[in-house]
Amino acid sequence: MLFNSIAFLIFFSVVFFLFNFLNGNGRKILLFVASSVFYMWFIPVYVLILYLTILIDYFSAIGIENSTSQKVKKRHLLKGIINTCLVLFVFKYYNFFIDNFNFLGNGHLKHWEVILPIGLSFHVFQSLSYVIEVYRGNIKAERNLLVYSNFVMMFPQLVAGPIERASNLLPQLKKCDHKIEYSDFSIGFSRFIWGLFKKVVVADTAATYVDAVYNNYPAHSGPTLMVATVLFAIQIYCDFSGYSDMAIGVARMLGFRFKENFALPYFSKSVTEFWRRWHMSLSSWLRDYLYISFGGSRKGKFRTYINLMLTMLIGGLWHGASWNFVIWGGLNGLYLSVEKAIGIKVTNPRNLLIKISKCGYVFILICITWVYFRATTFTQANEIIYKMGTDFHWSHFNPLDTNVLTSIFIGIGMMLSFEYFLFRKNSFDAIFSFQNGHLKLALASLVLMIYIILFGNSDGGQFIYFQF
Amino acid sequence: MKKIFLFLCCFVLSVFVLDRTISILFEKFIFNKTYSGESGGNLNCLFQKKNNINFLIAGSSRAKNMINPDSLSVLSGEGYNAGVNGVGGVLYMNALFELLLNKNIKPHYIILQTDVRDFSIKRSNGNRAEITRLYPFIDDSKILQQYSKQLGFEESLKLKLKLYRFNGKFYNILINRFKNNSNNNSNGFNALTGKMTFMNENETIDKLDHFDSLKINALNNIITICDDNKIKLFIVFPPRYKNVDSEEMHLSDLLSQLKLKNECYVVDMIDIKKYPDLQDQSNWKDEAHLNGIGANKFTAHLNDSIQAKLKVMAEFENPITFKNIKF
Repeated sequence: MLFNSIAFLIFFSVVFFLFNFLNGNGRKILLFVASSVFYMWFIPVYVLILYLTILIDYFSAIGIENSTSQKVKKRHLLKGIINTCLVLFVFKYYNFFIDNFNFLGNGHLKHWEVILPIGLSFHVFQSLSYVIEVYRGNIKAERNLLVYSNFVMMFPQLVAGPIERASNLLPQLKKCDHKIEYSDFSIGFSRFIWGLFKKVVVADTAATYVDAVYNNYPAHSGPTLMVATVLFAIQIYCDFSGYSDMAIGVARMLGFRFKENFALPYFSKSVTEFWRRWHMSLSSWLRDYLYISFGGSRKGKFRTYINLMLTMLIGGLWHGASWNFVIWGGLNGLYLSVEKAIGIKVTNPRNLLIKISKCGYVFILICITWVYFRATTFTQANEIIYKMGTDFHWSHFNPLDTNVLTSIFIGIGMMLSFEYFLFRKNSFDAIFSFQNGHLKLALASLVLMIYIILFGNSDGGQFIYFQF
Repeated sequence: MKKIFLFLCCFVLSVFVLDRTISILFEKFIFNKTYSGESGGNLNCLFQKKNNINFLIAGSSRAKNMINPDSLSVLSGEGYNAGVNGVGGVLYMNALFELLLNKNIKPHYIILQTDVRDFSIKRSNGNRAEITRLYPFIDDSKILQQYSKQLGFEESLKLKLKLYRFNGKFYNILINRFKNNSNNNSNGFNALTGKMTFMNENETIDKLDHFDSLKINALNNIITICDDNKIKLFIVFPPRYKNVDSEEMHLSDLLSQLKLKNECYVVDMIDIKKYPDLQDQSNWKDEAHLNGIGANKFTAHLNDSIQAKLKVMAEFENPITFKNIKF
């Protein structure tokens, strides 16, 4: 079920009103049923895979907690990690493995024709973090299977995150008898509309240009590909952060608080800062469970760079079973290593010109990586980068449809204005606390709603990150 | 909860009031006075300013950019090119012709450009765009209302909002209204400039496993409408820069599914080899579209083809007096 669909509107209205009238266990059961229905909307039988990963990690965590010996604890941890990763491997990486195996060994192993379960990587990472945290002794194993199931599959964050940590979400789910406050609803509602605006007005309309250019890239010039790549950078940001906004908003309307997932990443002044602002729930996951486990920066400079590269390569592979994603991760790892080597730190320069040029430099570097992310093959990505690096004749620029492109830029301008002038300094909570804050939020939502009706792409596809 | 409920009611009511107010004002002061652009302006021009045309050209961008009404000397009187970029398939045309008749506009001739590949079931994902393009006129077309219902419950619900019919068109309409290019004298033809610089190496047509029955029915309905209203319909299949082997073969399959009537003529111009002067790359903007120079040459060929068809038609209708008619 897509957040930007009428089906979800009806679904959520029902869930919201039932949730309000129920308490304690009733709410927990409702959340479980609602999350299952939400997931089964895509391919019903795949909910069994979800249940399987839940059971694996539920019992692994209890096994860890019940064990007194460190060796047994470790065995349970490995059991949980390996089995969960096995599910991920079978459904996501098996065909990729076969391709590479056939390529290297001239084999003829056949593909397994299977559709990737939606959001598999997200809930696998979420349940892995839970088992690791239990092993590290940071949290207690959840004994109530219903509560744990809701932690993994709570519908707002089930298919595209944010990847919630057990320490934040489990206590909220365990209690589950809070009163739904007007402030929560108002803030959540505005947050949802803001996310919807980013998705259907900016991301989906930008996608029309990006797809037209990238799907026929040999016919386009360097400047056209450059504009398409910049638009893709904005598309993927609005698509994914829009989803996160909607997820956070939906959860907030029900009285739950999710962690933030984006913090205006394109205003970063270094790639290091970018990764502290982009997909924060994933980057902190990678930092806590991979980078630090590899040794982090504790084993000397050279090892630090290797650790950074390894973490980002795995992060790339997490996104998709393709070498393009690995290269995307590798490039980001390289940027981070170079910045660390030359001592670029996360600072906030006072001079506006320096700020703008630093943001520009980060944006260009990140855009190069997005080419590998968007292109379907390695060769295609290289050809696009070659064209962008050799053809600077702006007379070759093809706007396709000037009016469409202009309306895309108007949407982007509106989004950036909101972000720069409002959300850079104030959160939704802060705006609510202003004098007549709730009215201001309602008015902004109303304006955005009318804008969505007029300019939103009503035929937009699903969210990009669903495929991960 | 009471406060939340009140908030939701106020929000929905505000959306509803704003929707009605903005749409009424926009329609009255902006849209109805816009006579150019493909978000409905060109159709306003047709409905309001061109209601005495003798012939109408309809179809996709291949009609809009390749057929110049002024060069169709065989058809006397005023002509208008209502071809539309990006869409312009038979679903769009079916609804458009209903709108024309509802507004009492009855040209004597309609030249309907289409392509065999557009009827493939694999291309049915483009149906939505064809239907939504005409949404500003949905109140006046039962066919359009039926098509929109086929897009699902969600679409029907969205259409309850009056502003939704201008979704994705609002900005274009505003620009066209205030650009002051609402040229009443335009014949709708838009010649492309520039030459083809890039070619797909081996273009292949999708295997037409099945024709889209919705489109077949739409074309049959167009044929019936024209026949009932004594409008002579020419269904034109223009060429591409390079022939695609199976396209001609699929044409006969397509024609076998049509209920061709007396007033309907198929003008098969798919084979580029029959038109040596069009084969030069300099006539083309891309593989599917001729530029202005090529368009004039193509229109001349089309003119000849129509003349030949009319000759046959006259012979059939009045075999004795035919010899006296000069074309």
